[in-house]
Amino acid sequence: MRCWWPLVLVLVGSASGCVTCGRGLVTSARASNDSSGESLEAYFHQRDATATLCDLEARGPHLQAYTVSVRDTLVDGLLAGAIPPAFFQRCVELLLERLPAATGNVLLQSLAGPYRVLISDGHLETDPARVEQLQALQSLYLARPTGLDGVPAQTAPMLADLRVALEKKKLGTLAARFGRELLDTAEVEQGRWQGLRVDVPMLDALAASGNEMTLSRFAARLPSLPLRDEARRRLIRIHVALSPFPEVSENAAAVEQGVMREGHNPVSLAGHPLVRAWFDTRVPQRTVLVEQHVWRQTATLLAQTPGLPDTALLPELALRGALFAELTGLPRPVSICAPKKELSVEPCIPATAVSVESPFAILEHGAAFRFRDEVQMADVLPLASRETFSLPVKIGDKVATTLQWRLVFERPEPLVLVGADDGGAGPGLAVDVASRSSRRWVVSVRAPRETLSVVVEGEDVGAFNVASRGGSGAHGRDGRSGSAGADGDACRDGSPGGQGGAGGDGGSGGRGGNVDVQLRCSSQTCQEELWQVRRMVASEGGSGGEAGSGGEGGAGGLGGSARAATTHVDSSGSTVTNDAGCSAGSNGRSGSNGRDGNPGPDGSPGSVRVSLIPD
Amino acid sequence: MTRSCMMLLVAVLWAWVSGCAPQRYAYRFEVENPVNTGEEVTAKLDVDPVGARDIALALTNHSPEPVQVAWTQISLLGPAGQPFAMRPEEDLGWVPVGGTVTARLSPFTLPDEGEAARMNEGARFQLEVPMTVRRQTVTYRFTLAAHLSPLASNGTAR
Repeated sequence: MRCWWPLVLVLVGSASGCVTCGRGLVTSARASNDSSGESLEAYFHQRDATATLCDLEARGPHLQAYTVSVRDTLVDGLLAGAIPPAFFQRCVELLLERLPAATGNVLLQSLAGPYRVLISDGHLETDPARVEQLQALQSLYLARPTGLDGVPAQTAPMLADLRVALEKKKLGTLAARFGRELLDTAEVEQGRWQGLRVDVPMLDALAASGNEMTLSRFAARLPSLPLRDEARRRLIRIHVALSPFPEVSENAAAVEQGVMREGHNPVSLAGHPLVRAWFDTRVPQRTVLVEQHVWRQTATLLAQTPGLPDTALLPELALRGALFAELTGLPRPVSICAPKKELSVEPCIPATAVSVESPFAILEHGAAFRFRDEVQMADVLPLASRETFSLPVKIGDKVATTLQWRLVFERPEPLVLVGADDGGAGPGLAVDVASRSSRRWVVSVRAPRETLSVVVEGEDVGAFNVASRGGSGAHGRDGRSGSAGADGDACRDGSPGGQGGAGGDGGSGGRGGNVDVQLRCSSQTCQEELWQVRRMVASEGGSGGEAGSGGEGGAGGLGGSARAATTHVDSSGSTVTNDAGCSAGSNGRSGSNGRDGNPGPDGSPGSVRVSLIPD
Repeated sequence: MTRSCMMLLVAVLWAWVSGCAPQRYAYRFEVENPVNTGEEVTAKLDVDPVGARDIALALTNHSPEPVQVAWTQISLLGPAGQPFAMRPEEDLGWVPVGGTVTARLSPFTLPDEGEAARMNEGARFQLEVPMTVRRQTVTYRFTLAAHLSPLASNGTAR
């Protein structure tokens, strides 16, 4: 029965496909969902990937769980050069911050093996890549969260070995420097520095010389909490002494107390209302590319960087140091507060006071924004009417400034909906075309089972089309093969093969469905738009079915075999013929092939009716 | 084996080894702005990626306030713009008024033989040193251009 209901929509083009459709990019959403080693490695190797993926408490896409496989992928990727050391370091830092102490200690300890391999590698001295890898591992250990010490029973002998290697000058120039720095910090963890016990006078001497490097080691690694606090206090005093804000130096004691308590010096927006805000030139400039997956009705947001040919991920947008604001009563611009461990005394805007008014932005910890890179088509349709991808940034309850990125919709693949095979009629379609500006058109196609929407840039309208197409006609039945001829008996011919059957005719192509188009247009006459819509939207008959092939003629029977003559010699010695024999029979002739059928006729197009709805 | 045969074998092996060993190079860096002519701070650099594998940076403070260098935020941008973190070999504090502080910034290593080294001929590196001068944050940038000279087998420049 040729019935288009239930209609089988044969979706022309790639209905399935990967998340990123051909570009080979792994979005953060995909890396998060997959979380396999392969995805992680591929994700981290891309421009503008973010290590926030490793934050198990991130608000945006992140690893589903920390597993041994994740650890192995990270470590192996680092050593193989597949994961950049800076990513590796940040990723493991975030994991160490979030994991329970027992798991964190095991993770930390697992880095000891690779560290030992690298520091004793003969190529370290001349290979910048290995130096970077070692540096990442060393930094992780030195800046690890307080309370995480790996597995002391394994760490202690390793440090002892390192000490021996240094004493015996077994390490190269660089390896020795790394080793000494590690042992220096290990000494701090014992409450000593350069052979002396750490005490308050030592801290004061360091503060007097502005030695933030050593004081920072002490603040992070001394075993005594009161001494760690004293080190922090002196770091704050150095920062106060260097601050360009008069209100910091004039209120040094209060600022010191505040920073000791909170880790930074946030201002009250009620006391210092916003005057204006702006982005620094360091903020990245991008073009947002919307990749449309029309059959799944999803979209991927990607980025293009001016001057670079390829498409990449949307970058994480860190507002600290990129967004500045002038606040009433403060003589200098301020930015977002620094992480607490920096003990910055500069007046700053707390990260919690900042938000971005965009459904695509996700505020992560520390005022860094990430973007939802896998979204529904319905989410991006409202962008069609906007000139740019806007990110209005609010400070407090006011929109302070807006970051504008160029916005481009990638040309969607054609929306051709096809009826069932065997000549099913194309589906009836209701097409809504909104061309409120020459910039972009929004095309929504209502089919019996679903509504599909796409956005088409004005320049792509001529190359995009929508159609209802009838299904292809049924393939004609192939003719049956002729029967084989019977083989001949001895000396007899084979009989001829039978004739092949005739091929059947192909079926008719299905009729194209009727298409009703509503064009919403805001120009004066809409004539140009009407012309373009008539070219863009079509109803097409399905192609006729292919003809069936005629059946092959049957093979002739084989001729019978020959028979040799037989003789005997009689009593007089003469040869007497018993049987003269015979020659072999001929093969029967093959049957003729049947005739091919006729191709089916193409289906007829349905109607396309365009009505104009002026806006 | 006779002594003369042994000597011949050694000579052949030596010739083979020296013929196949990768060419070694010495680096020379042209610091495009070796002495910063700012009124507040002057700087001198000595670059050695093969021997000491570091950059010696001497900063002299001519301002009336201590100059604080963000010693842990110094970076070296490679020819492709990739940053490498560098820090002093010893912990350092600020540069006192009228004083000079010399930091040995490490690690800075480059391959010294074969194609990997040769590719660095003409490569430009940029050292970025953030500091606070008169309570203002400034970043001093030094551009270093690498030049290579082949070394003879005894390690001397040809």
